[in-house]
Amino acid sequence: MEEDYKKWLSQFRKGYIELCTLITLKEQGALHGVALIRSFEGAELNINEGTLYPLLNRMEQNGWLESSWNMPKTKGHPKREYKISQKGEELLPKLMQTYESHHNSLESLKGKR
Amino acid sequence: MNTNDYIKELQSHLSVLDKGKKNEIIEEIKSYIEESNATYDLLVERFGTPKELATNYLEDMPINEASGNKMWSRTKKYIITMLVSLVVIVLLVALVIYFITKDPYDYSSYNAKTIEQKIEAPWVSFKDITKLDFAQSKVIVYGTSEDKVSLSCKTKECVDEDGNSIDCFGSKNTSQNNTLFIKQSSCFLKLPKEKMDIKIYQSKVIIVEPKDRLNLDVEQSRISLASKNTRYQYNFMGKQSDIENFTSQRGGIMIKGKFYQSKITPYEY
Repeated sequence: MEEDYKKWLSQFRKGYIELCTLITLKEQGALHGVALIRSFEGAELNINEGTLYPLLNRMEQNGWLESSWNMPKTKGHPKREYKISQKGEELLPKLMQTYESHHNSLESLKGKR
Repeated sequence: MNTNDYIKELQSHLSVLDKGKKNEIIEEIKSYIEESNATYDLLVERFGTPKELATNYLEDMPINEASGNKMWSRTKKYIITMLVSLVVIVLLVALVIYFITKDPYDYSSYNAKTIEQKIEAPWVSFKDITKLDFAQSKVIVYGTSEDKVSLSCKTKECVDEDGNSIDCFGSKNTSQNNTLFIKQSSCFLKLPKEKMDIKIYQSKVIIVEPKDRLNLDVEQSRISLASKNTRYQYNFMGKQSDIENFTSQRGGIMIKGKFYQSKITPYEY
């Protein structure tokens, strides 16, 4: 049971987190991985780094995000910052529309009980 | 176990990725470690084990296939480069060998008179020669209307201390009982207008326009015959030899030949 749930969650979250990432980066501008996690946590969306980092990598490969390395002003390791790309901006309304449509369908299905 | 171990393990699991992509991922995890002061255990808690994290990175991406294709593509490029290089090297070597071994002159374009201007070594003349015997030599033979055999050989002993050519035809070459022996030499020879028997062994001989009959006895040699302006009648017998087509003309000067393990061809420059 637990295994089935994990599988479903994994599939469900993939698209959902991608959507959340695009929204967050559109709203907040460029962010690095840790800052994105914090933003999600602030919205009570718990995602671990092992899921988010590969996902950011994949989204960048798809051309939805762009990344750059930010050198810290003082000592420290450079940070990789992500921002939404032109392609991501164009895709976002369509994804939102799809999500809302599915959400409404779900609500409608629930109401028929 | 510390964070370095985590990074090393992750690197090994991401080895299918190209170097740039792999470094980018590793740098990002290192950046996280520094910012969060993470330990090995925290990394496992947040990212999963290095293997799990690598699997997440590689998931849904045709990385393995791409990497495989890339490797095959590289191997293909390598093989093609090697083959092309090999062909180029073989061609270059063949060209070098060709130019080293190729005669610089078209001997057939010279005649007995003009060849004298071409050769610096002095000519030595012999009267009453009726037989020639070439062994392990390279000889260019010109037919003349003279009554003597003239010879000009390139040998060390035919050069004086100042490097000038002297009247000599080499210690290995001798004249005896109407026979002129040429051994292990490189010579030009002018034939008289007389019937001549020529014995040739392990030599390369070019015969240009003989003016009288020849009787060739050839073994393990390569003979080229140049006959631009004169009519010849050929009578060749070969054993284990390669004799190319010669057009025999009736009434022409007779050239007889016995060939053993030899090649006889019309002269081609």
